[in-house]
Amino acid sequence: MRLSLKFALLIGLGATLIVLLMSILAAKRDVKIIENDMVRDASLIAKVVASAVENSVGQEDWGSLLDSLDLDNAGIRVALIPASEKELDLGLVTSVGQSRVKASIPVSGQRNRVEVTEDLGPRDDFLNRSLRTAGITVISVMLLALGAGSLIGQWLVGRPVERLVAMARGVADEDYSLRIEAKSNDELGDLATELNLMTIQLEGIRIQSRAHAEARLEAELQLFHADRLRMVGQLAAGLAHELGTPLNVISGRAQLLQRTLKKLGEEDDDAKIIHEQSNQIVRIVRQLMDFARPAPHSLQEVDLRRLCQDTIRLLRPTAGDRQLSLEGDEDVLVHGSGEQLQQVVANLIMNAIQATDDDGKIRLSLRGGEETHLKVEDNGTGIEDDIRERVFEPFFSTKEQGAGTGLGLSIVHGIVKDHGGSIRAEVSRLGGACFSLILPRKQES
Amino acid sequence: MDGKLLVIDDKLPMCELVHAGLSPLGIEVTWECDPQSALDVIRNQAPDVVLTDIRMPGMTGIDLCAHIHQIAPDLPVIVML
Repeated sequence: MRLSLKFALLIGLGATLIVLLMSILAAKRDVKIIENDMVRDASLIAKVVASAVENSVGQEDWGSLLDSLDLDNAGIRVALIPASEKELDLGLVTSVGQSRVKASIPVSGQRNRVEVTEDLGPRDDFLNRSLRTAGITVISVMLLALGAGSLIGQWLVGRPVERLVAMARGVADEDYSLRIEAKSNDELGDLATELNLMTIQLEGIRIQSRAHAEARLEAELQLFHADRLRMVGQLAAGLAHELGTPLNVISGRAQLLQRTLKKLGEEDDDAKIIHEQSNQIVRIVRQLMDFARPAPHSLQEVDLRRLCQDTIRLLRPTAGDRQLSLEGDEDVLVHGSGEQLQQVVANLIMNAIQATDDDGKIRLSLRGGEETHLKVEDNGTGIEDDIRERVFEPFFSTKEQGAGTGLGLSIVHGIVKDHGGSIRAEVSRLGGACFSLILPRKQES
Repeated sequence: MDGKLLVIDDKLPMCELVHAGLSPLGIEVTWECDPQSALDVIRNQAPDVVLTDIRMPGMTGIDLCAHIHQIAPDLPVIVML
């Protein structure tokens, strides 16, 4: 049952009980007054009649006397009844019976008593009327109390509680942005204030725990990534070493064969192709060895802007008609291996060249400060969202089968990590890919 | 062109390749697959040049260089990476 209705019922019941009690008490008192009045009336009539009889009213006059009093209509009967000695001594006797009031008085000098009886009908009528009025009052009070109680209860308790319930439901559904207006300066107002505080705290906890979870996930991902890279690195180093010698032997033998055939005047493409293809494998193996390279050991102050300029100059012939530009801060110094950092820049530019058309744009931008930011971006094909996280994985390549080793960006990633920095693949404002590099000014040893 | 070249590599095909490539040029190529015994060969045969692999079981090319330097300080050594 609704709280406001319970309140209303309680108040209504209380008010009804009070009204009922008061009505009963009032009716009892009124009945007593009426009865006393009737007894007095009967006594007076009895005295008057007795006095008249005493003063020699004859039997013949008795009827006219009673007629003149016109008592029948009032429900009063007067009778002259014989009385015993004992009764004669009693004087005025009154009694209130079940349905009538009686008053009798002896007639002096006679052995008679005048007895007056009066019906209690009017009293019963009055009682009935009183009870009916009381009933109507009680019902009215009850209805009024119910209605008013419901309304006031709804206003004071029902609606504020509904708002609190709605808010509590929202909080249960993890909506912590909800706030409730604490209008009243009472317990419900206090509850609203506490609820508001609670949601603010919950929101804080949620933000904190989400940040923790994200940080943990990030750390786990990095660990997983680093683990995988290390494993592949070890594998690559072993493979590169094992493959290196036989490949060199194949390549060398093919070269010798080529030379011998040339001397014999039997020039043939077979030996040449074997030589070229084994050289291709040697190149891939060398990249594998790069990938599994040890950490940089000859560290020095490197002028990154100059390094970028040199690299651009080196690669300009390869870039064809593409627009290669460098912008940003001057004198950006980083602590690291110049050779390896050049490999990073060269790899990123080569990737951009391969991703753009002949008239493409490739832009390098530099920003110094506490950290060094280097961006290499292009207006080429870009990197799909779903593979952006994977481009640094070893052997992951979007180029056609055989066109790339899938190691270039892994090597870049490894070198940047070794320098204490980080690299991310993003979307360039030029429309293609953007590789964003951050290097610390001084590497922590 | 003449001269004595000692090839030190644990992989025989590599030694044979160098032999096949340089012998026609008049260079006398000998090889040794074990770096330890190669040091004896250097002492006894006094080659003009040493060509050595860098990764070998028992001893790396760099370590071998140090040992050779003690035996023959002027002997040129080429290390294959």
